[in-house]
Amino acid sequence: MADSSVSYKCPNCGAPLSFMPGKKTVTCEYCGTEFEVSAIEELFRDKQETAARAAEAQEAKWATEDAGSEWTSDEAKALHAFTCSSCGAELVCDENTMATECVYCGNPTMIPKRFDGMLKPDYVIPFKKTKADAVAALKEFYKGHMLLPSNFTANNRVEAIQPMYVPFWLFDSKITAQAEFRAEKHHVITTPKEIITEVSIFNCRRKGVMRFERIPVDGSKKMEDTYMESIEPFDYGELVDFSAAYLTGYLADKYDVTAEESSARADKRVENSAIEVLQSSVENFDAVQLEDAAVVKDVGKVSYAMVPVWILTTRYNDRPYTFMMNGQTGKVVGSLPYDKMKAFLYPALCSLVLAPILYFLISFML
Amino acid sequence: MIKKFFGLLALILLINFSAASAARLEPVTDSAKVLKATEVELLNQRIREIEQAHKIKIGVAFVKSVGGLDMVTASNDFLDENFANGKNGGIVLLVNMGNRKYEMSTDSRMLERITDTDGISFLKDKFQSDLSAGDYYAAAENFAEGVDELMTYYETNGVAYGQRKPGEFDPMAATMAGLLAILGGFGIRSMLIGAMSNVHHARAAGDYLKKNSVKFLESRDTFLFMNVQRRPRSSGGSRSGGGHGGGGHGGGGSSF
Repeated sequence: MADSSVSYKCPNCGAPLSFMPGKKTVTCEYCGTEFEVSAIEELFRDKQETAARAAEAQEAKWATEDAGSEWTSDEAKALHAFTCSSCGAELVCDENTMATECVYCGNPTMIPKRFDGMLKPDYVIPFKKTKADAVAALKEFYKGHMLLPSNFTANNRVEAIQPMYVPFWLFDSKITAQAEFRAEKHHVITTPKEIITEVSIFNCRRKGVMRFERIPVDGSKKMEDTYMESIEPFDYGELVDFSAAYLTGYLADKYDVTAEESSARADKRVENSAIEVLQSSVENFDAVQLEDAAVVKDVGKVSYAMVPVWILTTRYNDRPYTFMMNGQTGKVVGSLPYDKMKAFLYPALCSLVLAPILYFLISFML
Repeated sequence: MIKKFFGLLALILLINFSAASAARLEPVTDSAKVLKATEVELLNQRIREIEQAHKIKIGVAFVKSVGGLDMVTASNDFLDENFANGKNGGIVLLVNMGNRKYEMSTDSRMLERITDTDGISFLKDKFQSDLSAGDYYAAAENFAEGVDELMTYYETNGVAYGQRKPGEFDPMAATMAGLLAILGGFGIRSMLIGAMSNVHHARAAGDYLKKNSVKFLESRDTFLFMNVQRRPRSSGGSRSGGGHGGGGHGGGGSSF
């Protein structure tokens, strides 16, 4: 029976191939042979098609066998089994997994069936940061947080470090924005007897066009939106045309949130930025307040890209903490636990220092 | 200006009418004829004793009118013209029987000893009820006694009545400082806890704006209207008050 997955193996020595961060080629870690991405694509195209067909057949068979057994129909839809082409083990992954690695032999595995019926990504930002970079960046991230529990660094252990290509929609838009602001100019005149404050009220209208390029919105339900927005920005100078070869050795998900569903988040960000741009031109006033705004999208274009993210999971006091690192820029985001005693003592100490200073200042003013 | 000049002239004439022949204005002037001659003499005697004891000048005047001036200006002028040369300052009480208003005025030196906030209020409590009751002798006497008490307090404690001694604990300031420090502590706590996470929604898309693509099609500022707020300017601004018509005067008054 044909394999339902494809392992990218070195044509020279048969070892697993991995795309190395920072390189434009796929390199065999074992024999050192370098392959062009296009050459690897060519080589494994037939294998992918065969694997996809095999997966279809296997899937149908699996569905029949499992019908009415311990899996509900929803679970059966979400979970799928594939055979590792290297060791023959059965890989179970969810419906969105495009690339993974075998838990038994560590073989990087693509699941071409998952590419069917879905859009092929237009671009990919290749991983630049390695696992060692991610661990070092996480340790650096811990520093400078005064409320971090003293034993957090010592007792905390990294449970999992996973590199993942996350599906992102990149929104291009050209917009026309117009807004009205209420602006105030203050003029104070001091006479011997009184202080006269003249407040002149203006209506300021602004209208302009502007263009936004590649606003990223993640297309994965699994990834928290706040985390994905926090690891921005990306350097699009390193964006390259998509090739499945870049996914070898990494986890990869396909999108499960469509571009249409994601567009509202991009639109809101565009609207806020457009208003900020217009407001920044309301100058030489003492106070400016937005009264009304309208943003019209003249041109909207969406592209689909795979973006590199390191997911690091640690455990402290039996509670998991997830951190994410931008696999391109190395920016780490996450929420650290805080020591409740420190959270009480430090501010209390500050209050104790502040109190006499404030007392002196207030006594002087009263 | 002309109105002020004639008003001042009328006030001087009114006040000086009963003492036209005197070389120096007596402490008590009663052009409104509300006191008996013996009462005036007794008051003058007592006030002179107080003046000498504290090296200050005290004036009390009962008038029928202040000639169109406002009471603050009239009392300040009355002080400056006749009682401003005391070593430790001067204070006057001007009582207008025409509109039943009174006004006290202090010069800058007296303002340090009798503050507007506490000293003038103390004096009001001393004599205002006597004025309302029509007992003008008692009012003038209690005013003078009040000044004596306040001066004695200043000389004994080194600070004006109602003021803290240097270095003395101020419970009000301590309460305010404590509350502000606690608030500051909560603010610092929120800031420190907030710093433990850098996960947040992206509000805008400024990183993805092509700066050179921004073109303004309309930019119009239209003046709508103007709001004018006026508030009286406080003169002096010392710790002990002094907002009494400018010129370093202090004081205060009311109706009776």
